[in-house]
Amino acid sequence: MSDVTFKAPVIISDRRPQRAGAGEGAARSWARPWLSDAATRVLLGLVPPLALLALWSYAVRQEWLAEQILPAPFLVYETTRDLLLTGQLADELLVSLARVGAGLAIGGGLGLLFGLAFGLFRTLDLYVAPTVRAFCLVPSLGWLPFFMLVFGIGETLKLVLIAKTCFLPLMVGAYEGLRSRPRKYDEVASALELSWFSRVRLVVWPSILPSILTGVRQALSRGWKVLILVEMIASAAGLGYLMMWGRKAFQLDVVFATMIVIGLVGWALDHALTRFQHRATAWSFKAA
Amino acid sequence: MSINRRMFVAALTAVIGFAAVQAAPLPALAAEKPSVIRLASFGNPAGKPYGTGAIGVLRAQELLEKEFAADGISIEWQFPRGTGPAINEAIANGQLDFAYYGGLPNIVGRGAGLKTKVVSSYGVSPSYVVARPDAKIASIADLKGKKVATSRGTINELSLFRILEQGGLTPDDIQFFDLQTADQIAAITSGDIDAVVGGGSSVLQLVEQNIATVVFTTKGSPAPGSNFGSFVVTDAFREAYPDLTQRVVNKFVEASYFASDEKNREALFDIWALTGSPRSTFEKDYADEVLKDRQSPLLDDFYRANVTAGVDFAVSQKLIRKPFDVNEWVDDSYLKKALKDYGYENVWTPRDSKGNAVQF
Repeated sequence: MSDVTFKAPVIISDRRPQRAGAGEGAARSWARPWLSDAATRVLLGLVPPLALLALWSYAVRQEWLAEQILPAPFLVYETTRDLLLTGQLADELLVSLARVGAGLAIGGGLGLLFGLAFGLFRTLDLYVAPTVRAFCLVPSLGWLPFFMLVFGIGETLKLVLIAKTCFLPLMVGAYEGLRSRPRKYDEVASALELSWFSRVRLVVWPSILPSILTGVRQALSRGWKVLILVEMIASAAGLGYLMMWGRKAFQLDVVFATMIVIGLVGWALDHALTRFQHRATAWSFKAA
Repeated sequence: MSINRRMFVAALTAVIGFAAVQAAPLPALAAEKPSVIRLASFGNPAGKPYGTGAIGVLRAQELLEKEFAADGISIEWQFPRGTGPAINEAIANGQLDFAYYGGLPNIVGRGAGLKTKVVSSYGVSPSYVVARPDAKIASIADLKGKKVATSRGTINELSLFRILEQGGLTPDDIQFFDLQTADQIAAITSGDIDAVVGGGSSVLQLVEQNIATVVFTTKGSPAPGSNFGSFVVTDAFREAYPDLTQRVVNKFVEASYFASDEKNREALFDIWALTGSPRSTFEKDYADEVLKDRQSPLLDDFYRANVTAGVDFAVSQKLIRKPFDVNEWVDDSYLKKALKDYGYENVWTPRDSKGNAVQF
């Protein structure tokens, strides 16, 4: 899962209009004419994973690494299937998703509140924000030994760590959204003599929404990663635990299966949020 | 500038082509003698490069360093905190020649296809169950529903299972937490877990600090659930350097002999305390115990029965996919030769599969 900012999807979203124009000839000249554009895109998107798979199979066949370290793709496939059929994978995934959801809600919610407060009140921004930021800038792993002693190793620890990780992106998102939105919007709002409520609803909120949604995406992406990490250290359930168990049982096929699921789920979450972001704040991408 | 499809496809082709060219495997070179012999044993919570048991003696007295100095062969030690599972990874990677570690990871490694031979046992040592006083645990049966921690994939997981069995429990009856030794201490201190299962030098600290009390131990009996393990050599090393293998085993037996001699008791505790575990935990662990009962390198029926039981456990827990024959894994020729050469044949008493001394 990437930490790309919201500028990156511009390329994707602008593909279609571009291709309708000058780009079309070049793109079509070598693409098979009977394949639709969307199909070509999907096929090309599949090339890197398939190439990786081919390389992986080749590496296994050539025994570049010991079979205990690099399991054969087919074995990983079988293990993944077994884990799916027994329901274990789904169970662990649900546990992990619930944790990241709760952490995001708590940490992200607080981050949003703090970000808005710092953006709106200059005094808070001057005197409180530096401390909060300094706290956030100590990485989650740095907090872990202390958190373990304070919160123990139960669910609280996981929630606190994920919440802590989700806090900063949303705080920054809300804050930057407020600080960097064009002043002219306010001038228009004044000219229209909007009430305070209408001004917030119609002008301020939409104008900061893009950067908040970007914050949510980053928070989710980072929260997902830290979750796997904390599950690996102290847990009895979840994807990270499954992965660690695989490692300790010296079954790297389980580790690989888990890695693939973590990657796919992370990608799916990010992708879904990006799509949502495009639908909710499409205007911001066009204006960019 | 942006990357268009044509460039993307071209780059991809180049990468695949490059990978194919690089694919030629490197030939393994077997020299007359290696420049280094690499050994590993399980690490300690303090992360110090020292061990316990006979390997601790071998390491601290630098027996191998002295033995191989004239040959220009240096000795490299690893004591990973990840203990047994990490040692398996290092063996798979070809980073080790000898390893001394607990039975379960040892079995799991062999089950996963690591090419090793057992050249000596590491003896047995008792397992302990320690619990917080206010967790109201007085017997094994009381563990039901409690939060119990040990490090998964290590010999302690097998010990936990065996101990639960004795109380009529299964792993599903407890809340299991997979924690490394250092984290176990933090977790039981904060009251997050109720009990810890482990060996003396790691859990007796908790008793000393009045954090926990011993509720069960396999000490003083051959009860199932004791800690056992092996000293193994990789096939690659053994086949390339049979003489060197014999010399390493000789030194190992020398260390075992030192660790079995009652007059070295105090010196031993000093050596083991180098791991960072308090000396007093070793004193307590070994109180009322005969050193040579615990430090026996013999690959006797007791050792084989323990490993066989471990294999069954590993299969039942799906830690390994299929069982293997213990007798094919064990190669006691090196040990037998060492015992004969040193005249140590009657130092240690072999035990039968039940753990009772074999009477002649």
